[in-house]
Amino acid sequence: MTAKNTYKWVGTSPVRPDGVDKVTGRAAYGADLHLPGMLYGKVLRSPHAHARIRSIDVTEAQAMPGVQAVVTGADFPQLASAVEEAGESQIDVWDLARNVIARDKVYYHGHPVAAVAAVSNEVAQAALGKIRVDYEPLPPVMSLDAAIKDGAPVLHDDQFTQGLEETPKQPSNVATVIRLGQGDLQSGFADAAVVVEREFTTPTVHQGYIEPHAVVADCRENDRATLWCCTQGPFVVRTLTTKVLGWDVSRLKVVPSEIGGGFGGKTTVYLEPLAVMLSRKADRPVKMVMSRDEVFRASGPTSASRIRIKMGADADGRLIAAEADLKYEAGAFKGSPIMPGCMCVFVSYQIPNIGITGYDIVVNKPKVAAYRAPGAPMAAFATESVIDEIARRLEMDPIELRLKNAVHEGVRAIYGPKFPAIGFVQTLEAARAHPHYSAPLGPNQGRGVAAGFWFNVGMSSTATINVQEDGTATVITASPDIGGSRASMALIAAEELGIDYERVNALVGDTESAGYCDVTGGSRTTFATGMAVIQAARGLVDQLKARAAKKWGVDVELVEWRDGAAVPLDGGTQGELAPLSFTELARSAAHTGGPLSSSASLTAQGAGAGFGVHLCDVEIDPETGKVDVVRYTAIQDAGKAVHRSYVEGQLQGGAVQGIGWALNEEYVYDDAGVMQNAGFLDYRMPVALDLPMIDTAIVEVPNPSHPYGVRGVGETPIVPPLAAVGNAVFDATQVRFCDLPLSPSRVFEGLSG
Amino acid sequence: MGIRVVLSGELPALAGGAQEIELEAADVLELMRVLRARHPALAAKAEADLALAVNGVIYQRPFAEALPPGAEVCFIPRIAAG
Repeated sequence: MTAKNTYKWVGTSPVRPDGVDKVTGRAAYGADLHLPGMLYGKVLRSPHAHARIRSIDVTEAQAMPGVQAVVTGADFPQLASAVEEAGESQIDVWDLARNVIARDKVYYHGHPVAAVAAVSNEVAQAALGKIRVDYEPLPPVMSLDAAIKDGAPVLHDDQFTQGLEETPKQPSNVATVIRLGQGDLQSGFADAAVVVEREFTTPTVHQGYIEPHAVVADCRENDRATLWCCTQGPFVVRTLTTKVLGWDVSRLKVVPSEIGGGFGGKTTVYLEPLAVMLSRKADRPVKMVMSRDEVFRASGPTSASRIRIKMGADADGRLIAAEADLKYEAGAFKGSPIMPGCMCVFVSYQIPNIGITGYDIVVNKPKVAAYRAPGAPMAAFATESVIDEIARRLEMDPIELRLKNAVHEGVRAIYGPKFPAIGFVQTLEAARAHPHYSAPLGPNQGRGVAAGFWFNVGMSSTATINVQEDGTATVITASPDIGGSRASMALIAAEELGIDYERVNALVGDTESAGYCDVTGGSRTTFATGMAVIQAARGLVDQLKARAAKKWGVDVELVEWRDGAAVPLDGGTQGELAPLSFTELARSAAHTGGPLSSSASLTAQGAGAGFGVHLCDVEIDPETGKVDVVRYTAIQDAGKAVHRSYVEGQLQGGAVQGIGWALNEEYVYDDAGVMQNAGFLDYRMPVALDLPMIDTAIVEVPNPSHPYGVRGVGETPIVPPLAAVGNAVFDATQVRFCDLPLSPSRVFEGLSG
Repeated sequence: MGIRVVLSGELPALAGGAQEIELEAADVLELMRVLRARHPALAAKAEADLALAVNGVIYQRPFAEALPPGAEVCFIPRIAAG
């Protein structure tokens, strides 16, 4: 596709099309759908973190008045353990199926054991109490240390560590070991003038999306089902749900609702297969909605981590050796984001000698799910904290140290390829030039800086543009709008078609009315689905030009599309013909060949990596240890910001989530493996009153693989904040805190020595 | 001018310890045909779950993309994200 350099709409910030619906309550979220005769489903969840299921008796529950269906694991097919392509990633479908509903064992407190559909929520809830489950409790494994110590209870008898030179003979809680490296670590560290070694831990944290998982299933149509749900990707829901059910994908239609946040947590399925199976048994529609308590206990948070890191630099501040040992919790089933953690831990810097080892470890907690830049924030917390310490030891400006070592175009990343055009250096320079960086600090205040990286991805998307006879255009994709994609798609279509943004209506379709799209995730939608919109729009412009040429009786080569109108070129028409506008061509479409419509499908390649640099000022209350963020600036290379305000919003949102991770958030478990803070009162996420306005600065180093230069922006901004906050706290206190969260009690204890 | 396949991480072990492979291929289809013949374990791994970078540009799901003469090709893990 040809590149574009000047823009009318791209780069502006018009009013978002979904805003009025959301602030007036008119927007229909997952729980807002009601169908005639609809039943209400509830899930019976394990009271144990680890137990064998001896038997389940549903007789009494099934006999209750108002109960229409009960399902257990026995109602679902046994699947072979196999890693398969499923939506955006590869998963073991048997692990997924057992996470949806337990079979012979439960692996975490809250693991689904049975589900009931009844005429009301109250009857369904009462019926859960009538299901008799005979458990054989087993000792829970609740931490990385507990999982790998000698004699630890093994969660899965058939899990043997992958990635070792010799195939182990004993099963293990370590699912995979990963090794990456280059150069000679020993000689690298021997040459270093300064070496810093630290161990960092981060707790289990949740995405905290405001809308709990919600679904309505209707399976009355000849063994086909329709599923309405809040999801980041209707097609991935279709794929995963039908795999768990053992169905062909064509038997299921998935309709995405408005979505109240996902951040990666809505790229998999929990209730969906249960609702379909209950609806099939009851022959009535079934609605299921998670409570906040269920969201915390039984949907996927992200990994707790333990990272030991050692870095060495020469006297001039050149990093010459770096070693990391990363252990990530996967939850109940293998598959933590350890690989991206290993790939990201030193990715931002040119270091000749590197050794990285990563461990994917199962524990008796819910299976982790994706969360914004999965695996990278914890890794960056470790690296960026140690970089800060090296800069202090060398008495260097921390941005200067980073600039001295920053990766740029042509430098080889530790995971293999050389970087194409990237904007890390420009982002660091923008941070150094920002007024925040040189502003004075007050008493008990400190400033931290940290950088972050995320790959961003492309994957598959389809877009259709239909022209209406009043001269408006409808853009249809199956990319759910989580971060403003309807506005971005409308801006892109308006830009390409040369019509006003207000004349473009962007919609989110379902799996049978829209072409295939991978999830809205991986910071891919504006890049990849946007590229499909560009292609579709350019195809539509070709049609419009052909219609005009036909009307004028000239060769299509003599027609140009300019400012939303077909314009005859002088060479063939000698200026006799007036331009034909988009609206005029739309109005006459039925008489010039039929309705105007254009679709494009693609697998977008060449996603541009994103780099961010954050500046954080904190103020410490020495009497309580409370940390307040008093000023914060997020600077990021967006390639090209399509809707500037939404890009700023992504930077602000990622920063806020990262600040919550740094300061407040953690799953607290008791000795039995029961989460003690499964609600927003006790699991403390930052709210507007807790934080200052997050300032932003957008850097634009174009991605050469996109016609506008777009890079993804949604994930990078959660990577730097953990270390930015930690480094600021160090600056204020001269105490290095290596364990998150930096809660008042932890900081107070640290200050007390 | 041939294609240079650069291997890192666990991949050299799937190609007899080689960290670089020189071969002739005009596109990704041909590249995979050559690798299947010369290094079947590497080809199987690549087809199962790896992305491809051509001169640093990442192809998450490579298929038949053209490989410019002298291109550097790297296999990397497919990134699933949030």
